[in-house]
Amino acid sequence: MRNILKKSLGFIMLITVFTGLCGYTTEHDKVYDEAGLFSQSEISSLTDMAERYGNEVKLDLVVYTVDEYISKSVMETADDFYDDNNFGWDDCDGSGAILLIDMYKRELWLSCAGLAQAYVDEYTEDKILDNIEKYAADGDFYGAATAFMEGVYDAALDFRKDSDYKEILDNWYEGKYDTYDDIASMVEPKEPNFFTSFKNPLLSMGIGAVCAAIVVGIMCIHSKTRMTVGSRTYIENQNFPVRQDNYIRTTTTSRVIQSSSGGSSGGSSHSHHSSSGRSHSGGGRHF
Amino acid sequence: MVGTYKCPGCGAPIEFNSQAGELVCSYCGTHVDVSKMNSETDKYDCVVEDLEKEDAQYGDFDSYKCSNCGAEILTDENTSATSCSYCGSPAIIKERLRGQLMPKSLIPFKHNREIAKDEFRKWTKKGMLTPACFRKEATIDSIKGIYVPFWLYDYNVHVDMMANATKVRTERKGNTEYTHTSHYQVNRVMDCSFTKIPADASEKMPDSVMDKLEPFNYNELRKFEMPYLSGYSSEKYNYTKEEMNYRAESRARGYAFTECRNSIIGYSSVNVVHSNARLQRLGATYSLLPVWILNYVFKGKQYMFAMNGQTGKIVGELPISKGKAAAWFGGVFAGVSALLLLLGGILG
Repeated sequence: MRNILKKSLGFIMLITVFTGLCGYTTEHDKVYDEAGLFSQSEISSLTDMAERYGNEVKLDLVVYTVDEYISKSVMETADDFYDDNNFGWDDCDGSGAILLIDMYKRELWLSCAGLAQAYVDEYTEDKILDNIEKYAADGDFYGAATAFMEGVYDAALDFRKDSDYKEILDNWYEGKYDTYDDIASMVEPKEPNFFTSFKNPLLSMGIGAVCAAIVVGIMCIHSKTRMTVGSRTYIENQNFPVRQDNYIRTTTTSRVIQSSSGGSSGGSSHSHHSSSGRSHSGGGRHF
Repeated sequence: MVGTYKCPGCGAPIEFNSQAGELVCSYCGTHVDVSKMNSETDKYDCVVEDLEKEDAQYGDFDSYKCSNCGAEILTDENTSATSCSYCGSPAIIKERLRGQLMPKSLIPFKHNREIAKDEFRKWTKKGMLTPACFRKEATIDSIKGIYVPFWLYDYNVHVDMMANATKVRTERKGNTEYTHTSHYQVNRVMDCSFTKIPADASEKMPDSVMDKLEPFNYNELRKFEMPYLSGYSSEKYNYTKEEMNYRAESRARGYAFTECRNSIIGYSSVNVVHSNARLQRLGATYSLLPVWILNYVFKGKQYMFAMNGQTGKIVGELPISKGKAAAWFGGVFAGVSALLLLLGGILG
């Protein structure tokens, strides 16, 4: 009896230590499906995905769905759910991201905490949300959740590959910082410029094909001879007995130009502080 | 009857030399001016016994006897000058150049056969899509110098044109943009004339090729004399001046409209509401213009290479190698795509 107790205690301790090494502050589910949007197999698949991606980029990925009226805003709901349940990776600020699908309000909210705020800047956030929105609008919530995880994962990979941020990341994991606020000003959002669109292989190849067609087309035309005469070749004694340019009237139209809001300069953060005082970044969509 | 011009020095057949601009005997080197040759025609024209023209049995072809060697020369009904396929003597069929059929003028050949062959050789080497074997195989021996019959038309044209036009100006005051559109009514009346618009009167010569040989320099247009034809082929016209009138008139009309329309300048947009042209045909002259022609077959397809015998302009369609085209396409496609992806990755 005692032996078994000892063994099971040891076993339990082993598991706790193991999960502690795994990195999450607490061991918990990844999918909280109060609205019942996912089947059992979908939930286990999403959980799997969350753990795989999360472990690789050291983020805690959570999906939360509700379908009853909540008086708080979706932003607060998402932030508070994350904070109250103590989600997050075991670093100084509980890095992770949560996707809230509110079926009552028909709203999505993506909230990032800790380092995830650096990974998902405002432009990336827009792209990810657009992607999620597409699936949600179609009613494919499994797809939406997948898009969320993949989007955050890819953003994290990109950031972590960037040599400019290597030092910051190293310091972060060594515990030199207290919260994300300390490094917020050091992170610059990757504003898309003219060249970003070329990353898309379809676009680049499309342009390549068009250029190739133009070049070959020009060469084909070149092989044929052209007419060298025109209206002036055989003309003589040209004169204009009548040449009138009569002004009739002028019409004027006007339009007011919307001054476009300029992109925020590097360094200004798009995070806010949740009720628990910790900073989150996030954005939402209606669907 | 077929005539051959003979050299006053040695009696051999004498041909027109484009370099010299007159008749030169390739045997004894005697030079004779064209007009002098013509006036002494009777003396040197060795047309022998007035031989009849036999046709009928040959259908479209007429047969003549060469005045030099007596061999039979077959020509179609339009040929007016050719060379005997046996002895190579120039043969000029005079009755196809008499009376109504006599051309008013011609432009003599400026480039001789050697130059024409050279130009053709050079041309086959051009082009980035030309198959390599074409450059080696092309046969150039059968290049022929032909005087092609043309009708040269003169017109007076009167054009009326009316258009609505706008000038657009934008102005910005504060955060409002104002667009000012000024409307104009434009009137034009233009008078002009077109001289010597050519239309090829030979059925055998494709119009598309002949058109592209233009322009000819009419400053070198000479009064027609038969000795110019010696050594070259020539045709009489198939189509009368009435038949070709429509073609030349359309060109004149088109040119006139273009010129009139081009005089409306300085506007942001022009919309021609009404235009009308009145043509007056002043006349049409029958003229022979020099062209070097080579018909060849490559990979089963027929091609025609033509060179303006006066200006040297080349008209021809180079065959396109599908292989080379595909290679170029692939290369540019891969190159540009790779470059853009790289740029996107680095600078994006």
